[in-house]
Amino acid sequence: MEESDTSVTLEQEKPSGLISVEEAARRLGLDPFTVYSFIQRDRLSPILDNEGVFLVSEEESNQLAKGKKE
Amino acid sequence: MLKKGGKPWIPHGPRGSGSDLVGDEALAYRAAANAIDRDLRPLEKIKEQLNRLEQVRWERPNPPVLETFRASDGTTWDVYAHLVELPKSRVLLCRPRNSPDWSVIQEFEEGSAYARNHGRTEVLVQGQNVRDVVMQYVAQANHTLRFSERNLVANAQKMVWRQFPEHNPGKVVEALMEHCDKAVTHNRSIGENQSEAQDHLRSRGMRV
Repeated sequence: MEESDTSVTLEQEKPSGLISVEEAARRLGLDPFTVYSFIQRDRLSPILDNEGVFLVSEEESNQLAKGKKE
Repeated sequence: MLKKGGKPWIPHGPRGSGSDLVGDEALAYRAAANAIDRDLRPLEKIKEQLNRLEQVRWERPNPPVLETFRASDGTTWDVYAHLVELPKSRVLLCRPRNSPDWSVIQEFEEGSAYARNHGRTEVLVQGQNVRDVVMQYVAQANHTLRFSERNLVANAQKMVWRQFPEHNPGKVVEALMEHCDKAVTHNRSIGENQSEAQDHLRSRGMRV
């Protein structure tokens, strides 16, 4: 059995007001796959961080969850 | 440092990858691959379901109705096929009662924040030819799969460069991309060609 003293985590600090697609999905009660499809259909605006990862606006995600955004 | 039996151990190449990573490169690869595995597996399952849809003969004379539901606008929908099952929603092939048009509809989990405020169902694709409608959905979903995969790789790349900057990160990321690509690359012979058959469809197109 191998042991390792290293590990990688995808949880990262985000710029203020931005959340990951996975976090947006959790708040909306949807699958991340569905949130990605929302981005592709302009239901959510993607924001590219400095390292090429798409994030979404927390406020926009909350508005979508509350039905204030189509 | 990896250890085996309490002694330093150098692995030779990650399992399931065609790359030739060794030592610390393989260590970094495995750590990152494990980290993205939770997000990659659902994409693999979606891909398998989409591949199956491409093999189905959709033009049947009298397909049976599997179930019926009533949408919030009062429309009664007959369900003819379950296309994709996701953890928190499902995608259905439907027709409104007494209508010749086919629709692909996504049904969200009851009680989810989104469903509470937008309704449980949304039409994704509509049209008169059942095969065109399903293949249009497959093409869109494959597009979404590639977008999801691309973001997963970008996340993994960020982690590898931060946590394993001395472990030949470029080569490690290349192997991770290969790993993810294998998981979600679909049979392009059918799905993508269908995107050209949009003329008869009323689709809510995707941009990214």
